[in-house]
Amino acid sequence: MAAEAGTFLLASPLAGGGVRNRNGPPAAGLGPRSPAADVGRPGAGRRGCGSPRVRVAMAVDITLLFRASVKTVKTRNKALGVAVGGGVDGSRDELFRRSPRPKGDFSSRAREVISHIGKLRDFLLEHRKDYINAYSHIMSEYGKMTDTERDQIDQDAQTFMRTCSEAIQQLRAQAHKEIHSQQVKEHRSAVLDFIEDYLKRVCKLYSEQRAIRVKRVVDKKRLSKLEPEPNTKTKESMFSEKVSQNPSKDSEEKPITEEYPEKIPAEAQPELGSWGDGRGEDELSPEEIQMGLGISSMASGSHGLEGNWSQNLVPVLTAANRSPCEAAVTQRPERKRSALPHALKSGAQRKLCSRGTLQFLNHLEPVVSFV
Amino acid sequence: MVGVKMAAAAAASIRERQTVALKRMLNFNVPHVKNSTGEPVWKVLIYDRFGQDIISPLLSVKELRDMGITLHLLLHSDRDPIPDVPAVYFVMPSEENIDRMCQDLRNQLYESYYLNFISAISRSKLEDIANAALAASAVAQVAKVFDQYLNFITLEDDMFVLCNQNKELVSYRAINRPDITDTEMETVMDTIVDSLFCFFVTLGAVPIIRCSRGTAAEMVAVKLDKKLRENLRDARNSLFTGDTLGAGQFSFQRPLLVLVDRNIDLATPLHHTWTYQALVHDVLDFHLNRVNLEESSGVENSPAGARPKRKNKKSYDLTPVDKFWQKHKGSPFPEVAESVQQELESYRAQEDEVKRLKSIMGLEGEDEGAISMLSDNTAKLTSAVSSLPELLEKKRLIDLHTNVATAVLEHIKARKLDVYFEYEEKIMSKTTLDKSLLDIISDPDAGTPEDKMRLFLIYYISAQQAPSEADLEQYKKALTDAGCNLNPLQYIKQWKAFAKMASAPASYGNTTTKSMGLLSRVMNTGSQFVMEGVKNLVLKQQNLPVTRILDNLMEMKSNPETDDYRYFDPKMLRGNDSSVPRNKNPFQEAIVFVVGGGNYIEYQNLVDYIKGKQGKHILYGCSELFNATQFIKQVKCVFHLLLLTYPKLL
Repeated sequence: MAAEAGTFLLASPLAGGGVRNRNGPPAAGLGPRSPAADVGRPGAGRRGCGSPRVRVAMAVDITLLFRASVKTVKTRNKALGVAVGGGVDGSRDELFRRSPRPKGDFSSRAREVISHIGKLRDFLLEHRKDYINAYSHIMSEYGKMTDTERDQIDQDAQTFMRTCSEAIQQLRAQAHKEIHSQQVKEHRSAVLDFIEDYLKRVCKLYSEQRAIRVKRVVDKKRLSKLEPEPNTKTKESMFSEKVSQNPSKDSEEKPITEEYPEKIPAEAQPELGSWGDGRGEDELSPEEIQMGLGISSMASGSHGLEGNWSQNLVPVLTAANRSPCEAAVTQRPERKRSALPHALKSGAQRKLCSRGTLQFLNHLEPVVSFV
Repeated sequence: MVGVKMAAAAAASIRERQTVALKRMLNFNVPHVKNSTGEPVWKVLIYDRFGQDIISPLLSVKELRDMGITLHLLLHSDRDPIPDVPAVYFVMPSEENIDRMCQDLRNQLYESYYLNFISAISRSKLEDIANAALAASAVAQVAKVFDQYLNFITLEDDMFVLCNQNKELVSYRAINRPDITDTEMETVMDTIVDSLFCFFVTLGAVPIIRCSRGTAAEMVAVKLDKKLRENLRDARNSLFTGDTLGAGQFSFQRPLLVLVDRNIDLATPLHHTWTYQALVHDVLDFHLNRVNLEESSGVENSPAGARPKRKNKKSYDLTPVDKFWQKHKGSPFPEVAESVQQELESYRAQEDEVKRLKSIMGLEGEDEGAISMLSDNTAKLTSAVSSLPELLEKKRLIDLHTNVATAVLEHIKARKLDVYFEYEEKIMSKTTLDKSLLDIISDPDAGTPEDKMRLFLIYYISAQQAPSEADLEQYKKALTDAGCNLNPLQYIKQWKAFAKMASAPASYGNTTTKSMGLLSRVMNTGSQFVMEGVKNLVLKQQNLPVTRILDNLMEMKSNPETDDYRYFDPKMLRGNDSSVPRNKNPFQEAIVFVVGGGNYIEYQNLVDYIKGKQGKHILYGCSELFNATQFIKQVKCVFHLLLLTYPKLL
């Protein structure tokens, strides 16, 4: 039962009769009736289009037999003079029948949110390799990613996730309006739960790669503890910390012993970034430990930020202007993540644009105005 | 080695196979592939009661949710239109179901329809649906139609029953009642054969069939052979072609199907038992892997005692993910009690460890020693935090089994079930009895009237010679004084007279139960379970009649009991009526099916039998599962009908 996980759209069944070739992938291009499902190649029997029954592992597909029955019934009804529902092929009548039905604001909007989340997922996956890449400083100009760019990705992703989450909340609020059926309400709540779960899974992509980044920094700090002279090293490691935070330099992963004060550009000095706070670097603050923990627990989805994830999301965001992922990356409460200096920002932005981020940013627009 | 592995894969997989089939069905009939960043799909599931019974032991509500099901509804219920959602149907192709489906189509309830029939739908009924679809202009909305061949209920990796909804139709009573007409019998047989056919389609194997002569089992065998044979001959539509068989496991080894009739052994359904699962089935309300408890708070339950003050109803599902259950469902009860205690202790130790680490983490940073410990303990705490869900699950299981085992223990103590069990084992294995049967029956503190009746019936069935008239009168009087209804006895008398008792089920083996004494570790450590006064009995393996028959047939042993069993091989070209087995090699794999009903005692006996045999596997199935109470009820019914049909009998 080996099936390749493709991403074909589920083809809608052909109207009327007609034998369909079941040995090839379903015809793409027909609009999906329902959200796309992964279509694998089922272990169909050796019998192809000729037989109305197709063996699929243990069960038997009698769809073609059904279509044949439809033809039989039509023919019989014609012969008997019984009116067949809605004309020769029924399709016209079907269209007519179906248009007065409310198409469902809810479903189309739900699908929009899903497609937006899909874009985020694609974006993250596209840049994942570069983001995680530890050796970007020794790679070619094209392949590497600077810290600025990473920060930018982080920020964009967080904004995007927040927006999506808000959209889901809005949908939830409106889903039950004007609906009297308990079943429809339940159905819609479940659909929204699925979408939320989807967002969670995609965010996990983000938090995992972020965790790797954070861990690397934490590990480096640990390494710096191994240096023989704690006093001088403290100062040195502080500098090296700053250098590693230096967003305008690409050299972030150089071995610590190579760091020297003259490498620190003047404009980066006030720039402190998320870590490194002037404290002695030879101890791990409890927050930093929790950072590691928080992320691992986030990744494993167990404790820490359990429960109604998206409910937690909104107040956390509004309160501290941070994403939940960043809340796990706890800093000292009194510190805020400072914004990038303006000049750097535009420089970084320009760089990111070359990776197609601008397009991504553009896509944010319709989502934000999605009310 | 390879052969062993493949056999293991095949045998363990009836539950897995049925689950996989269901999941594929729920995934719009394409194989389900896990994708952690896949888009959500949603659908509603519509089933009838048959479908519900098949799905519920295999998939939990959460698992249904994970497959994208937002709502699961009964076919014959009020359902509102839900626009833009596909609907997956899983129903039997009965007249009323088809009518309701047609009504759904007319009412345009859903966006698209995936119709799945539990067993194959007839052409004419398919046309009925086509007709309705045409009339409703909904033909294009019928996306897929499938015959699922899933018309059986799998309860364990190696156990299945035919059905639950219409088990009346195929019950012991239905098969054995004297007033049954030929047509009715045909219907019953067809129902059984349809399910067995579905079973083998799902298993992906064509068995070799052996059955006893002159019984309902033989009728089933003949029909099943015919059905399999017809299907194999039909090259275009055969369900057993090469790529459908489980990875070629059965290309060189076919399984043995042993069809037996309940009437070869009426003692086992009446037997008192000592293993956990069988006990739960016997004394509690246990059905389709769900046990329903009425919890009384505090007050002890004794036959003459006060009524409990408050009753909470609780239900538990005993599932494959319940590790404790999987490990101990066949264990003797004292072992179960002990194990629950051990689990509780281990859980408490783990909980304390987590608490200790947590409190260490609480220290803010003043203490140097604590800080240096932090980095060591980070890893520990991470693992403790991540194992919290496991701990919670462990706690849930401990609570569950504490409650269930306590309920069982109450029955054991109140009715002295250990005494009954031990005595019956002695009777069935022909060991000398240390206590008089009359004493036990007359003892007001031991057991309900039904317990006494069961004991006496087993004695009567197992006796080589019928007791003298005088003795019998004595017993009857004692039973009546104890409050028993004597009808089951009359039935058994008739049964014994009519049944072929040549090689009676009298020889249950020569071993006995050993009493390990009244003291046990459980008592000493002040456990939850006060086992005082309960014998710590240990079971020794003895083969019940069904197990014995299986052993003969599977190992190709010669034995007068089974030598004249019929032999069917659906794959053979010529219609086969011979009793001469063509296959001379012992089988690696067997399915035992009891026509007329079975129970967990029989199942457990088979499991214990096969445990010692490397590389061999057995599946157990029956037309229905009943405990002793339910069986006696049916027996009484049959007896009444016997009286009506043959008034001169007594």
